[in-house]
Amino acid sequence: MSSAMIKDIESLAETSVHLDGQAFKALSTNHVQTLAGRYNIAGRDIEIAALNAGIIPQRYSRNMKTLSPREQALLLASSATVVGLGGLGGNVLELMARLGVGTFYVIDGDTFEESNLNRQLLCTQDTLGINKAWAAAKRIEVINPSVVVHPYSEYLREGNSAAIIEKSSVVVDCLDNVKDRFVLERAAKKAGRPLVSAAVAGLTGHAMTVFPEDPGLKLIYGSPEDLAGAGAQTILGCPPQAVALLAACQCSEVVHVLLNKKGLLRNRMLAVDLEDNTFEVVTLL
Amino acid sequence: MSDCANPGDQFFSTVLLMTAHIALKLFASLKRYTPAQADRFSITPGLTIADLLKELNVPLAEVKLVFVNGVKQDMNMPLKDGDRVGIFPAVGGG
Repeated sequence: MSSAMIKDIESLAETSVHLDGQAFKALSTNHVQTLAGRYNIAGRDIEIAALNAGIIPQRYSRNMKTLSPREQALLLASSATVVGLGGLGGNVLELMARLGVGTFYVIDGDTFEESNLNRQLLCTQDTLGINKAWAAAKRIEVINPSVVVHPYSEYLREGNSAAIIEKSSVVVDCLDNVKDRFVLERAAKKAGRPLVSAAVAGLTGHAMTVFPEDPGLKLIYGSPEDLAGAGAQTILGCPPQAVALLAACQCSEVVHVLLNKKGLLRNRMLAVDLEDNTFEVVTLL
Repeated sequence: MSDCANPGDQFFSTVLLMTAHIALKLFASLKRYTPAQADRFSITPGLTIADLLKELNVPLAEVKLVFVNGVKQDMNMPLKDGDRVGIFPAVGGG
């Protein structure tokens, strides 16, 4: 970071006041974009420099009571691969882009269709027929132009996933069937990256986090060889309230992973059923 | 007052030992096999989870995860009074 840039950031910072009366130095989104253009770098790099100088980018000011400036800068310096950009993926991406994770690799070869409209945030009347990865990149651009997104309009395969995953700090499994989840888990393990997985069928869902050395998804699904069918969602569908809830749990786990926090759903599973408000953390190992 | 125990008390204790109650929760597509009074379902103590599921006509091939009192367990685990049992099929949507 050049000292000229730091001086620019400090001169453009303004005093702001938090809801509890705490005064802090803040940098507006307009100033972030101006400086990003002036120094020809991504907005998130301006934001990281500001945070390191104790200046809070205004767009993250409501995060500042749960994330220290150092933690917010760490998230902005981190990257996540999101595989599957349907119900879970669209919600996860929306949350993480607003939270301020700095770089995304987003993978999906599918296009939006009308049956996606009930739950998939990236699916609108205007994106029907459009590729999901492309729509994801467009959405992030309008939510938070400071962060960087790399779209891959292709389906996950054994051959292509590891090379993409290796670039990121964490992998988020937002796929729509059990078989592909095992393909992604193998790729994440091979690349040595933690995987945050969630799945939904009807009002039931679960979430867990798998590190490369963990037994992983077989603790939930049994052996992949014994699987018949894609999962109970083919019978029960995917209503939006269950999808959004599990996506929020995934976002929370991603933060835990990136900031090295305790309380991870590692070798444990959060089981949810919205029909009777069951929320239980199950020990799997 | 007699020092002898009432034979009726002994009978009552034996009956108590022969029944236990569990709280049973079937998730997702397995919900349709939920019996009446699943929150306080009567079983013979020592009944295994596999036997319980067979009794309820749950297709065992569809059962992917079983947990008792918040911990994953084998299907051959015998159940006891007060156990909370959860049963999951493969859930994979998004």
